Amino acid sequence: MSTPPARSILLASPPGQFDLILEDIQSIAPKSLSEDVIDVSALRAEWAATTGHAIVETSAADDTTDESNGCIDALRKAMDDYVNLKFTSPGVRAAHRVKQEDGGETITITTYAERIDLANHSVGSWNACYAVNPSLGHISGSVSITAHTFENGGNVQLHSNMSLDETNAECITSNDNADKQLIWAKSIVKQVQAWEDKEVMDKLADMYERMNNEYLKSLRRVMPITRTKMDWNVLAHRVRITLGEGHDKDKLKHQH
Amino acid sequence: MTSSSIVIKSCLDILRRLDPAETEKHLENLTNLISNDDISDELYQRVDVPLKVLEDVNADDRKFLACDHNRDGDSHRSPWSNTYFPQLQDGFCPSEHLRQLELHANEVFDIYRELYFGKSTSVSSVYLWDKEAKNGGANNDGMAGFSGAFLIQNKVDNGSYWNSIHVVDVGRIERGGMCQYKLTTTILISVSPSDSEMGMESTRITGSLVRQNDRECKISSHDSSIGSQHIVNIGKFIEDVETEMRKEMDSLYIQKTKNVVDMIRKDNMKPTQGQEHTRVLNEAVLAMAMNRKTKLSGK
Repeated sequence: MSTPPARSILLASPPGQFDLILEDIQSIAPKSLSEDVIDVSALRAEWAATTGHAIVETSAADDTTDESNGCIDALRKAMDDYVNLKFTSPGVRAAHRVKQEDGGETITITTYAERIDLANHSVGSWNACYAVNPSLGHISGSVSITAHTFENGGNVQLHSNMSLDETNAECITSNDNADKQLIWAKSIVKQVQAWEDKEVMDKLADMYERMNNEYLKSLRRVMPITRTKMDWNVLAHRVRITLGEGHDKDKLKHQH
Repeated sequence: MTSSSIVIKSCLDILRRLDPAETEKHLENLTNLISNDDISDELYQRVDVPLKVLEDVNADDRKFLACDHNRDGDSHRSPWSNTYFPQLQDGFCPSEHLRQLELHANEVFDIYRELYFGKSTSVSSVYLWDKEAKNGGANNDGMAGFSGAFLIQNKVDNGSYWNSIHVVDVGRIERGGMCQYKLTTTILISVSPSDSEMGMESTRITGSLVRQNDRECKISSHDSSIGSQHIVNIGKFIEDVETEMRKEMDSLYIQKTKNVVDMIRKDNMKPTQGQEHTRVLNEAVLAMAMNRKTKLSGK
């Protein structure tokens, strides 16, 4: 069965706008949201889980119900410091989760941050996921970023997904002492920060710097190469074409 | 507000929130939700999607652009041969007078395309149509207004694209030779850096920007060049608006998405280009001073 249209639209909602889009769908086609067609609260939960938003909705207390051990606790502490350092500008809502997976083989770190400023028509989100293998000393990850600005007849969005390839990290076991675990946790977070600084933020900054003179210019120049605006009088061009560029004469064939 | 205008407003509100690169998909989703042909038709008329490129086999396979303004049923009219693809008997065509002007507009707009867009990667098309006469009668005294769509698409190798959709409404030439032009412009873009060295497998900026502008220009109505004067006026208008919107797209909108990211994650306190330049200069001055000092103390 194909995806119901309301579902497809709602799952594509940018950060902070699920409920606004829901309201609009309600006024377009209320029946499409009736219970037998779509379970709205389940859909909202699905959207929150896939975008990463769910993390900031649940309280940190839920996190501690997870199995905990020295390594996990040390990593949580180091991530607390990191999130407090990087994701605390005014208006930013951020949280992180550190969890054991695969029976302790892997530790996953997830960071989600969003800034929803609907009054100024700008929203954005940051969703980073890392998988750490403590005993083998590996870490890999990915970062997804969206930014959306939509004032005054505009709708411009950034969608970026960057994967961070597996690299070596310090090893640790739960039998190691607390000091060693703290040092290990800091080294893991140092790798996270290095990636986010160099592989994500620096590359995005570089893209924005090249936007006008490279990327946009390849699509539409600000001025013609001649540095003068177009002469819209067709006769001037016909003279030039007839005298100089014989191959362009074909264009005139369709004129009459 | 009628119920249909509430529906249209809600649809437009949804579309300004969703990824502009997926407007076509969501437009289809919305029309499925509405299931009302009249409202769907209006929505298709009001929302611009990236232009489609077709080939005119009657004009040496020359490419032309398809949009709602040259569509009749499921066929699109080519500006080069004035025929419909797929073939359509009795498809809508402009009056003979306006068709001549359309040919003229296409010729000159194609030159504009080459000046500002990639010569081999872009396509342009202009479509003109007669406005219905207010009194219901024929309106071809040469002073009558008309409407037109001036379209350009540029699509480069890495998948980045630019679409300009300029819809112009030309008023009747009034006493004194003044003529009103209303221009509604939509720019649709998708930009990917796609440099492998950047390691950004999937990073793109997508955008749509709509602006409405009015301009009044003088037309000297004594000779047969009224048509070409219209094209000069429209052309200059389009050139100015498009250049301005290109600047806005970058300096206001695209850079604002950067600010959003910078606000979410505090930057590294990396020096800006200006600060970096000052630092390099300071170091050079310092090195020079140290050098001199060394030389002096060496004496």
